[in-house]
Amino acid sequence: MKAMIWKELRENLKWALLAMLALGLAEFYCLLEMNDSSNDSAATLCKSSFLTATTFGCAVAGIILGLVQILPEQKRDQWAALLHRPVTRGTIFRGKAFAGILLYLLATIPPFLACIWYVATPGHYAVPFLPAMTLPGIADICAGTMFYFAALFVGVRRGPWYGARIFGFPAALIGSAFVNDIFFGVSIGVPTLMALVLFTAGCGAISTNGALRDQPWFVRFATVGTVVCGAFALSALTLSILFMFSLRQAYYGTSYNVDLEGRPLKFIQGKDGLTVTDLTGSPVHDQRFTTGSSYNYLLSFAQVTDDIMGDFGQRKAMPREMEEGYRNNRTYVVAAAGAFNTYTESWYYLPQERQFVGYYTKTKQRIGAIGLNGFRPGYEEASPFPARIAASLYNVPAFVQFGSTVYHNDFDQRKLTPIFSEPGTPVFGTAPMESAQDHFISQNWAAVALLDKMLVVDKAGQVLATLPYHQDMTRWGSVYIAVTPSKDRFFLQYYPSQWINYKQREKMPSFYEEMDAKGNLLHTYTLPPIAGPVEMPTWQGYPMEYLLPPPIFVVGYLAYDKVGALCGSKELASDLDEAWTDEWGSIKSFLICGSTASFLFALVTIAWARRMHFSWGRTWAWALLVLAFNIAGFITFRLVADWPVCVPCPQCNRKRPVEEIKCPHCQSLWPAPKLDGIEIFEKRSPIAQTVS
Amino acid sequence: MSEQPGASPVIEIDHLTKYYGTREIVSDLSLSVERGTIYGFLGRNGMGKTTTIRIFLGLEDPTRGSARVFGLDSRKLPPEARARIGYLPEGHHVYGWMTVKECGQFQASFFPSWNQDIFETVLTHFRLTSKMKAGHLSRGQRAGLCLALTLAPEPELLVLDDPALGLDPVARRSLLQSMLYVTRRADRTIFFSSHLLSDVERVADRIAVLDGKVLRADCSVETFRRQIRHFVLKFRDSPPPTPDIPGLLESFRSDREMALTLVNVTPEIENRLDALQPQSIEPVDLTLEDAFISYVGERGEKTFFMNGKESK
Repeated sequence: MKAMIWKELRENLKWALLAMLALGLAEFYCLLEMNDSSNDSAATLCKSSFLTATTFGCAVAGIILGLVQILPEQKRDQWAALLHRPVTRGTIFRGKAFAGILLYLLATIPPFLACIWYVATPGHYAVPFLPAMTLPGIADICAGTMFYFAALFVGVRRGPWYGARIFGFPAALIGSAFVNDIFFGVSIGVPTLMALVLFTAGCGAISTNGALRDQPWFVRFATVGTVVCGAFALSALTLSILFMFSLRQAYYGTSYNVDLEGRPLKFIQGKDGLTVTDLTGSPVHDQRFTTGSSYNYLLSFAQVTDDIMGDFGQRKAMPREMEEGYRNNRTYVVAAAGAFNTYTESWYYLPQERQFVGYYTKTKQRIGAIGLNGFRPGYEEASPFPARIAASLYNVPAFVQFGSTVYHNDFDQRKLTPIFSEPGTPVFGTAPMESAQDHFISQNWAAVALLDKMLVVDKAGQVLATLPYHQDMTRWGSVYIAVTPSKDRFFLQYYPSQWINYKQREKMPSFYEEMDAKGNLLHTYTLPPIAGPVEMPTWQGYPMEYLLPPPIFVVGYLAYDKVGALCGSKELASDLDEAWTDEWGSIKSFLICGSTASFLFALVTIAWARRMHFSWGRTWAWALLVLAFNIAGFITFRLVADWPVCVPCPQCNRKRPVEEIKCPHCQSLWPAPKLDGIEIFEKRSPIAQTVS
Repeated sequence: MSEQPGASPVIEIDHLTKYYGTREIVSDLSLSVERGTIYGFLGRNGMGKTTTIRIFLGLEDPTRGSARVFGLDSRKLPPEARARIGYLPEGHHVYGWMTVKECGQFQASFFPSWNQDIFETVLTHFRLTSKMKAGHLSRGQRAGLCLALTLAPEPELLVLDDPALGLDPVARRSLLQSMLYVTRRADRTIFFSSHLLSDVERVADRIAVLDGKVLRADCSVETFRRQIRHFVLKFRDSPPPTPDIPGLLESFRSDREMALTLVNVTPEIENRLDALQPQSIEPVDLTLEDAFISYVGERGEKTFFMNGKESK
């Protein structure tokens, strides 16, 4: 194996170096490229363009290295010379794979390390660097191994390109989908598992001469698993494209707004353009709303909270990871102020450190940090705030909320001033007031959502308005606020709380409440629910819904929830309850139509397998696979099963498998080759020694 | 452990049939190669020689039947058995980026019984030096390097698939000499396919001939030559029509002569030739090449007369 590793390393080093160079250039280009989005440019190693380079770059590097290791040697005699050695074929494959992985790591890790060095060294970027920001890149490098093994599988498997062979790549694509999971462990674990499956399938493909039946059971599982995943990905892709091209939307967009005079209006964007009506449905003919800048004539609503009951209500606290995945740049760094080049300073909030840090945009050196204990210059650490920052304050940090304390933020003065904090009074959200017409309001006023009222405060902490709620806040807990240009009338808009299932939310109305600064209710407007986008059913939609989801996943998902619920998991019990209540319609529909499709495919499988003289054992095994995986299983059956070649029987003229000694129809043996009288067969004589 | 010559067949092929798709490549082939034999495997292109070799080396699966090497099923040849088999596929592939020395080191690392002396002897025979880049070698030199790599592990069974293909006469001769070097020990077996009948005649003890996907001959070279006979029948006038004689491979008629090539000639057939009343019957000795061409070539009558008119 050492010799094989040496040979592969020597032979393919040039490709690895080339891939390293290309990947390095791509990654550095993406890193150095400025992005207009302040959020994205703050992310460095989590920048979307950089992650695009690592995601695709590592996958392409893996594919290229895998293919160049196999394809040039695949000429018949060259391959034979490689395989005919006193080692097992598995050893040859492992030698190739080990060397290939080393080459792959050589191609991918040094450029990535160089990028880490570049962004982590002060003076290069006016953006903080956190070691955890390397996780997405690490996950991409890990996922690239999957594509490497997919390329090995595609290379060594016998058969035509368009057959089971090519399915290694879409199988890797399925694995790579998990890289986007919010949990780093999942995004590393699933691709690693898939890489292992592809490695096993590749090892099995080289170890036999192509037949599935000669492989050990776990290799057969790996091969079938690979092709099932690949078939699932390909059929999903095909059906999605068909679906996308034929989607007919009956809905174009409807929304409620309030004009500057405080008049609630309904904006209906239909086929024939924009229609504006009042809440009674009477048309409103106003030229201001038909221009492209209609927002100048409408109030700007700012969302203060998405769930007023928050952790006190029915909803469980959402784990932080659910909000901020490891690939999300906001998990590590949030641009707080001056992240554009035009500013002399850039400030960022570090959610994990719970403090703000600032950088000079010119020298790229750190200004200091602002935390609970105030400003700390240079690289001194500030004390972290005791609670997480309120998520709704990202991007607009003039007012920030930590726990139930609201601060006014002044980076120029390097200080955070508490402007609202009442012991025992939870704050459910804070947002700067928005106004398209009055810049002063946007900079100086904030809305603070409490349990029973909304406060409007200025940056000194003075309460400008107290607005009590008049709705059922357990159900309409998503609250927005706006103020008229005259600053004497406030509008609260209530939407159904986020914890409520979206299907129920779609049927619930929302409300406008108009109040003065003292909280007197002037008007309440009920806004009928707006139907969500209606996607008309198309013929392509049915295959999407009924052919694609493998029944085993649906049934397995329910069984998993059930077992979890029986074991005492409240979360799984809640999921199961939701499935039986909110999703039962779609589950029932699938169980009827999808399982029927699956069952029909299984019947076709049985008929086809028996017609091709499969044994009953093999027939049932394939039928079960098809039943479990629907169309993906059926494609796998067609591509992976050891299909016998059938030719007409010389005796009965019916098709018989060439591998069988007896005809399954007439039981006749194959006839001996016809002798034509010219044969020369001689018994052996004692062997004469040949002397050179 | 090496066994005595003739103790058991080194290669046993039993009713081997191979299909590619619905096309039958080899049909019901049975063959047995005894230890210590030099076996020539002959046949025209596309008759299944390489396929047969690949099957008994375990590189392809048979559709029906079986093949055994050293008594082991070819589909499950363990590494220990492969170490006893030297295989030189046609094309003489080498890794072009390696030097001759590196080629040897790479190959030696796989074989426990690597004989560096043999390797160097064969290299010298082909005028190869260790620093030469494999990718820069001539075709003959490349063949020599491949042969050195195949012979150095001292295989008990040497399988060569058309080893002299594309080589000049000098390289061919060197190849043959090197090949025969391996049979200095009586327990070594060589199985080779070739189109160069003079080479086969020079070294082979026995030959097997595949024709039309079927094994037609399995005999010694001498027997093969003896069984295929060529007669020139001279007539006073135009020769009579070609008689329907069993074993007639080809006939050639001209103004006063009829040449017949026959296989498995019996006294009865000779009597039928006499019955044609020729002026004389001259038996002509055939080389193996002539015999082989007649044997596997197009059968039937060949003549200068076309549609009753003499061609120019």
